[in-house]
Amino acid sequence: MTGRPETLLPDEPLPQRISRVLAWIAGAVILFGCAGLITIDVVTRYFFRRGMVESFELSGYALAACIGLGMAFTVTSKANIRVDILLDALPDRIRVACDILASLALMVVAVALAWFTFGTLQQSWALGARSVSTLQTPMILPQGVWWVGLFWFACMAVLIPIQAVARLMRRDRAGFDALVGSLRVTEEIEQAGAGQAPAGPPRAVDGAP
Amino acid sequence: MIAWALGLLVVFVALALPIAAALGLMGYILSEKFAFFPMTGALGELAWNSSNDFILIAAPMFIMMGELMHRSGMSERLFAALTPWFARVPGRLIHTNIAASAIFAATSGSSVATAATIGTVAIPNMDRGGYNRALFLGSIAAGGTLGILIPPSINMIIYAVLTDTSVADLYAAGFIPGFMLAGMFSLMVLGLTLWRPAWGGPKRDDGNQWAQRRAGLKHLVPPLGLFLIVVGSIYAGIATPTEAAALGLVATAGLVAANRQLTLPVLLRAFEGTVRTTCMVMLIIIAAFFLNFVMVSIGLVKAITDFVLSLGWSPLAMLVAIIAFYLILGCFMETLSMMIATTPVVVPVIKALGYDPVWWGVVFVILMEAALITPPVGLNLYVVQAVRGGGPFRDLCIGALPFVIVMIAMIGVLIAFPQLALWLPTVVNPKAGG
Repeated sequence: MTGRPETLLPDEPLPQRISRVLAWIAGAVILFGCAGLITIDVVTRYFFRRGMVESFELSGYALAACIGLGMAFTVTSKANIRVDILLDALPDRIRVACDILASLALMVVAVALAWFTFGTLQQSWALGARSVSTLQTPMILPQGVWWVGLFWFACMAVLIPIQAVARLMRRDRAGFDALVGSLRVTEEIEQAGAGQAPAGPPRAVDGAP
Repeated sequence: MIAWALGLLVVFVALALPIAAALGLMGYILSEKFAFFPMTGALGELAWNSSNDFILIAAPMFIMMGELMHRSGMSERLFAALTPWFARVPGRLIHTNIAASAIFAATSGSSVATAATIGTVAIPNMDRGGYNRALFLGSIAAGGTLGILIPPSINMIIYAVLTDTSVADLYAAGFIPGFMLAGMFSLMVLGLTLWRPAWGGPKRDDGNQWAQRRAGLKHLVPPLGLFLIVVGSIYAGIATPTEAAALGLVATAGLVAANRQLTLPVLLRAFEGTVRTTCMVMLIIIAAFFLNFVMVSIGLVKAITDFVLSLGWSPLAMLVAIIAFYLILGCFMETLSMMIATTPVVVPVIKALGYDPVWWGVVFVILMEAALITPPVGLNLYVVQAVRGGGPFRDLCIGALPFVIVMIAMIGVLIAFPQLALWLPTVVNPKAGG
């Protein structure tokens, strides 16, 4: 695989593509914002007896940013785990209904999360809350990034069932399954990255424990 | 109240709702039905607090380490270095699989990463060496599960956050049982191949291998180094478990870069995999924290604990019942979500029965290991099957079975001798309560 980032973007609708790029940013935040900063602190603390970059506080914000920005990608890559053992035994129509129901349930939770976390954000804004530390970070900054991500997550969670039903009405059953169908074993392996499946780009090994 | 909770859970899970959504909705309904005031207002604060939890930061860093480590070439060299050591033992490469998994597990916090990495290296040798396929594949799937028992471990970090126990204690507690379990796997393989010599492949005389054995030793240095960084630094007092994970990730990235494999596509795929798993887990954690908050507030956790105690069973009988419950549930549920969803309810019961939460953490992780290799839902089985790229899936299900039995035996040993888990934490950290 050659290094042009364009080749890394599979052919997918724009919202899905945005979610993927946000996931890249979220990953970079973990590598540089968490691991990088913490390492600098541990090393300087070891040699000079004091940390340099307040990594304890900043890496927490980095994790929050990663979670917020990356959450939408769990919807578009069907990462949210379902126990679908029973589903396989059911007739096709019921399975479709269950798939739609599952995506609606996720939508409700995503919207609720965005709604109630907005309350937290609003409160930090109204109180001008700052962190209790030498940095005195205005809480609105890390919470803002986190919330924008969760808001996008809610948008995707609303969009996906709509896309799915639209595809179903066009009788595009394969497209429907690709969006909200329960993750088939073959897909799961491709996602877990262990598969050297010829189809699709090679993936890194998933660290799922 | 208990009936309501149980009923909701069964219905939601049977409908195949995403686990996170099932837990969240359950929390909402229970709070509407039984709470004196609406509890959803706490959701924002709960979500924020778990989103920037310093201990949880270790999880994505370990996940990314697993993503990158696969590409460092470390496991190939480790495998090659271990092979001559088992050349004369009946079962040869099967022991190499287990030993390589155990060593790799000591640098990786993930079972899937361990199984995929070792599987990629080992499976090409399976038919060449004439091994019994089921046993050979089973040893990779089961060996891989050691990833979450031998420290570091993503599952232990999440358990620690959910139960408010110390990650350092859990790591220390998992150390002896982890390597013991690897040893018991090997003994079982030895026994089986002595009983049925054909399973270990035709006999071969490779001559004197001491030169190769010595030459391979240097390839043990990178995994040993990573282990010292990720686990050693904690007990040397240089770093907290989270900081150790950061050092490990930076060191792994360095290893991959030194191999000239740290390209943009590799990085971006690693980012995708890491974020996908991390956020999926975090959504379940946020939902579980919310549900737990509701359940504690309406007195449900206490009601369940009281109910269990009112049964009047002996602690041991209750413990066995809980273990049996997990063995069955583990066949059907994905491991990590099972762990996050049940910990807040089960651990109070375990404590009330008089068991140590650190000790239970170790037993719990072994149960999760068993869940990873029990069909129909056993992620490691699918991972190894995918790496193998064909052949009947039945091989894996049969091959994993003896290893599950050994895991159950290990749990029995831990019940009889809890010090196996609880002794080391008191040595490395005198403050640790027994």
